[in-house]
Amino acid sequence: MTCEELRGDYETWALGVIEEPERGELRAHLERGCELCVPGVRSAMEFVTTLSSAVKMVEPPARLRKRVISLVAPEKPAFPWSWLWAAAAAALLMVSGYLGSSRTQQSARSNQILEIMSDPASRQVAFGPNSPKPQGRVFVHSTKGVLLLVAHLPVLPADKTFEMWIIPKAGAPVPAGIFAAHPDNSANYLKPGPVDTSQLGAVAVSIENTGGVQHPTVDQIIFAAPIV
Amino acid sequence: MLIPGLILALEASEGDRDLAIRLQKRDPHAMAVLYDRFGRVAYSVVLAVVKDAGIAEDLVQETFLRVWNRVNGFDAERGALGSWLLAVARNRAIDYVRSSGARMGRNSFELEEREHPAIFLDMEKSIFNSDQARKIKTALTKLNENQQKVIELAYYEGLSQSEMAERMGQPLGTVKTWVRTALKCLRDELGRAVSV
Ligand SMILES: [Zn+2]
Repeated sequence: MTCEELRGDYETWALGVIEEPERGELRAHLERGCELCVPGVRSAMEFVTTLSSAVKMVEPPARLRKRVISLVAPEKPAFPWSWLWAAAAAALLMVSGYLGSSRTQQSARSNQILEIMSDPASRQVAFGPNSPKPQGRVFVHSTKGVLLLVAHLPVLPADKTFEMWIIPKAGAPVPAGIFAAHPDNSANYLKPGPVDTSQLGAVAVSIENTGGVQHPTVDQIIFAAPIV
Repeated sequence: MLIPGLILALEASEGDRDLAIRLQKRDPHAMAVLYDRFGRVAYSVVLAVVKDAGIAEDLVQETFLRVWNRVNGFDAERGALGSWLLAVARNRAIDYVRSSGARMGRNSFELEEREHPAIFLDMEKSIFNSDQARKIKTALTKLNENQQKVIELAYYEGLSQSEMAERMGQPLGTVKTWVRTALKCLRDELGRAVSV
């Protein structure tokens, strides 16, 4: 069969419903790298893949993530969870020092942090684990807020601060508060409160003047974690 | 409007390409990133087909392992990692419902050829977003009942056109026409939505 005759079968092939003799005919074109049919089925496959976005999205259980990661790192956690928990533990001790809050507030905040980290409903995104700095993880919970755990932050001059941004899929970044790094250049920062997770595009951090700003300085964004 | 550019920059900074390269280098952290990026949509697709949460978990795990094991055949520069992974996920699910339904008529070679990494080149990378989902859902509502049915049977149950004809009690030729017109209608509708 000619490419022209097979044209209408690119989608049925991609969807997996093509039948003989068209299937065999198209396969022959693909195997010889046909310059019309190969891009044709690619485009059709792209179209079929988009059908997946019509599927009702369901949050997988949190254990599935561990199962998948353990496939490739059976001996140790694939992500440095020990560091993460150490960071959370450090938060128990250090948060009050930065916020000047009382012991009670400190412990409430620490509890909030641990709660978001351990809640299976939290969506987690790792960022930057392969680049030298910074790296960490963002936890997003629809009612509890956005938690950032980050290490290897740059050292800032005295007149600068870190500012977190919640970036919606459409619209301007929303300032989510300023924070300082611990002496070891890590930080744990929680922006409590409800988040519209369906509209959330990314969580980012920029370096701004002390006190923070209303719009991020684009070339001062040090990292961003797309929330997929 | 700084946002679209910003988001693009964000995606480019930690995009498919870098992730694929890290997977090829057997960086276990990359597997975590891959899961965080596509785990939810893969699980949703598999669950929609197999309709059993426990089985869906197993098949998603298998999907990620398959991608990990085959990523060296993937073109990091031109490949669409998400589309490939989703094709693998859907194939695992279809393979499962076919074999459990004693429908062994088609072999897994056919699934293999549809998930060959060379297919997933030069595609749009950021297709999994709520905007896209809305367009697809709108397009699906424009199909007539029979057209919707054949797309569902194909997508969710992996039926061949002959199997659909049998299931629906219709001549094969009629089913083929429904499938073709449904697919054409969806593509036209999406093309229109994109160009607006
Ligand atoms: Zn051809």
